[in-house]
Amino acid sequence: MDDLLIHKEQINRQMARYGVKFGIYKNGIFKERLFPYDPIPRIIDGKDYEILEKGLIQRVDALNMFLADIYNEKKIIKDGVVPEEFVYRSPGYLAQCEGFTPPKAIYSHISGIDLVLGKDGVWYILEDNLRIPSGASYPLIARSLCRRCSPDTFRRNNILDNRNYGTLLKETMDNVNTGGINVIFTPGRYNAAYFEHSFLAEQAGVVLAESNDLFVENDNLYYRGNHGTVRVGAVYRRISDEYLDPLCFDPSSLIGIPNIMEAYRTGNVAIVNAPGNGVADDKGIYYFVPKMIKYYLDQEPILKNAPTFLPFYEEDMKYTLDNINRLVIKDVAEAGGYGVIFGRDLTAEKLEDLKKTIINEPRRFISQEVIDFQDLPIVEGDTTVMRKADLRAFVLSGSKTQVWPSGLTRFSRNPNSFVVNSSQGGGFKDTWITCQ
Amino acid sequence: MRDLTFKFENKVEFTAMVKEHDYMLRCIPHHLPHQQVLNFSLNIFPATGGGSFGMDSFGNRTYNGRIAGPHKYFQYGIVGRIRRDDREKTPVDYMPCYKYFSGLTKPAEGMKVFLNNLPLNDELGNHEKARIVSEALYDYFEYVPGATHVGTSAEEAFSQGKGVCQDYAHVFLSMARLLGIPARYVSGLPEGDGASHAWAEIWHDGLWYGFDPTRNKLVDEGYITLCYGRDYNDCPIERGLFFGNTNQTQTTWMEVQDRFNQ
Amino acid sequence: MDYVSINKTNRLFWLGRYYERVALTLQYMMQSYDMVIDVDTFDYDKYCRDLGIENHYENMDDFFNRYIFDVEDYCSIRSSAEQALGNGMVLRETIGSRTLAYLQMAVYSLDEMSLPDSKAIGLGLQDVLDNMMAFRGCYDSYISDENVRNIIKCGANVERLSFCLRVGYMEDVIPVEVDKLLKRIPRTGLQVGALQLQSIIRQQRIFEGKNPTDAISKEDFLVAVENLFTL
Repeated sequence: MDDLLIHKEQINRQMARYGVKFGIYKNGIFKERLFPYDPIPRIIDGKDYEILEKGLIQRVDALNMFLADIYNEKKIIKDGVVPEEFVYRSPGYLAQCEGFTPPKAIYSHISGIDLVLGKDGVWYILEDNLRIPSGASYPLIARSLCRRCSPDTFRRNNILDNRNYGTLLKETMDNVNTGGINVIFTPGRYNAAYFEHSFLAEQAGVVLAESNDLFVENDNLYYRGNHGTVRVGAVYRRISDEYLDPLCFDPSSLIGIPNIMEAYRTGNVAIVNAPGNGVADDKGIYYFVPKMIKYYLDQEPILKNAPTFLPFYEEDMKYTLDNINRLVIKDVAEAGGYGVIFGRDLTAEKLEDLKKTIINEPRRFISQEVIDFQDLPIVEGDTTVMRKADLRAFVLSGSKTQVWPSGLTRFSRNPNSFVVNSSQGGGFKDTWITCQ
Repeated sequence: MRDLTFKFENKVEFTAMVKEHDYMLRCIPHHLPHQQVLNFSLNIFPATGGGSFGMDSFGNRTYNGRIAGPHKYFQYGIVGRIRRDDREKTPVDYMPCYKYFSGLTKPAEGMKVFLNNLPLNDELGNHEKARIVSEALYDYFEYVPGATHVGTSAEEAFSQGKGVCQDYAHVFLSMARLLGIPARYVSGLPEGDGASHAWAEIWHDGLWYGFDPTRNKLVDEGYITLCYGRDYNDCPIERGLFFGNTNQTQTTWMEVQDRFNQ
Repeated sequence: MDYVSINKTNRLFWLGRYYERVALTLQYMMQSYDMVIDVDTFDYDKYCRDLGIENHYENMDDFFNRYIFDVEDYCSIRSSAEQALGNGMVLRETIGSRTLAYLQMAVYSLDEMSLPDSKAIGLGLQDVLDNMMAFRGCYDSYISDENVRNIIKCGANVERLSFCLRVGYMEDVIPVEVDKLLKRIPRTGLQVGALQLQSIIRQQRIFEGKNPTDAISKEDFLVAVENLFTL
């Protein structure tokens, strides 16, 4: 593994050569910058991974069942397991998706589940991302470069190959394809994850399309090829629900495809991931996921949630207010590391303000115990330092639910920060799963 | 029971050629036990041949299509005959989302105060509460065309105290939902002639009841329902998107008459 | 078969034009920079006029510096490289990451050299040029769709003809470029303007000595080349 450290600069140069970048908007100006890569991998041993894998599959299966239930029969609400207001007040709930089941009843085809490893050696789920989780391309590139830099490491250690992500993605799309080509639909070059859109299109061998390449006619989605139009059977859209169809959702969207929702509702095209998934990865709904697993699968949850409280319940409100200075408070409407407040960082005055806001809007917040999670070593100059890191595991739901044997390990470069999101200036590592 | 004939036409004229025009129409009357469509036709110009009927999540019948080639106007019209009979209403469940605030019906701070000043109490049923709110809203709100636009929220409309039928409906919906009453926005055609109209319905004991706060009356058998949703954004009668650098003017006409009083 | 949209066709064509523009102007700048060693002057004003770009340069050194390296100067080679890369980035799944990498590296080497006290411009520019040439070989060898390759090449043909005609550089290659261009058109699936095509065929016949009495002005020929493709 020393090779990887010695060759850090070369690896970084190689990454640059592949244009590994993510975009970021700062003060309204779009900037592309390199997503800092750290050569020390996170290693998860096979036994640990086996539990993770089972737990992730269980969780994603339950979440898919929840989505199918919410947009159709709503049994889980009628049976009193999930309170109605957590569903219908969620910004991710889309009434326009009511009464319709997508091909093969799969809603979340590609799920990004964020976890942390506690000091107690237990994995905790931080959040589920069922809309358009990004980040799979980075470890994919890092892996092929590291293999080049340190072939011996890979020969000596039994590290599961992760370079099949493109194939997995294609199979996932083929599974729901209604007859036509597969496309990845990108909002365009100035989207923060554009690199990933184009890279995954190349890896999966599918067509990358922008909105003016696609149109709907007679309830079918078509790609405007220069040899005539071609029907699209599955579209992996990397654009948010609200912009997807200006005739169904936000009418001011210029990057969507008019009437794509009609093609979808008619069953003529699969949309990956399904619109409306936001209702299941809401920070408020997160609290109920272990209950969902019991409700739909009649199983004990294999993976734990971070201890979470809902001020919506009287008891939890009291606990939250009493312990606010050591809890982390999350605004359920925010994503991407925004709206996360650590009670211990606030002045007494700010804490009082926050308490008042929580009392006024109990549905808007959840509170969680701060998990003491394991730090990972990262290279800084000539030494290594310990930093907070999480893991985004990718779960693909095709003809069966599978976990990609890798993942995106993100770390915080700031020693005092617990927030590891890339839009907040973090870096990433490769994630190795070793087999026994 | 009443037999109504109806006619509704809408024409958009562009000052320059437009193309790649995708549209979605919700102008097909609901076929319900108390609103039986006896006769109906839909006409669209320029005719393109393509286009598909469908149904949205709120149960509205839709027609979507595309005019790819250059054109300078877009016109659609419906004509037909309907039997309205409110004795035929049958109990239905409501979609739970009708109880919750939607994008255009988020409540204004002042609405709670407004409601507190009304003689409302828990003994009253949804219908009675809604009637009190509708009448109070009619007294408070001023009908001023041009004071608002299609994207104006209930909050904005309530604060300025004026607007058109869409705003009356939105403010009414906000307040109904504040009171925990399931309520929905309705677009349709009332008896008479002129422009299409918007009102609201509330759910009470298994049935939907219409309130027209703009005209301070209960919705009767003279009203034809075209479409409904949580607010205007869920169910515009027409929505379209096209390529072209143009201005547009819209003319609209509708007429609903009692078949035996013509 | 690769599915190429009309938008992508447009980008492929401009990818061809921009990479060729970078390669040609780089060679021309290297040559001119070398010439300056002996004669101590370069008529950059004329160069700008020939190419139809705005002369907003203060002096010769300013010209060399900004025209080659300045990312803010929309006429510069650096900007053309950015355009080539930008078009390439939105064609990643069509041209491939390994091909695109050479454009990326060309941009990096240009930026590395733009540091203030780098005097040996010629050495560094060779690196950039090497990457451009590697890009050319790579796309030709790895893109399997013949149409796609030929659209890029047609863009390059047009750019080369345009540059050589405007600047009067390497004029001896013009007849060869015309032959190549005309052979490629049917293998692109692209629409071409009939009148423009006619002018170019006329010029080809003149080059071949088949119609010695006919003549076509350089300006008309340039206009025909520039407007050949109706994208």
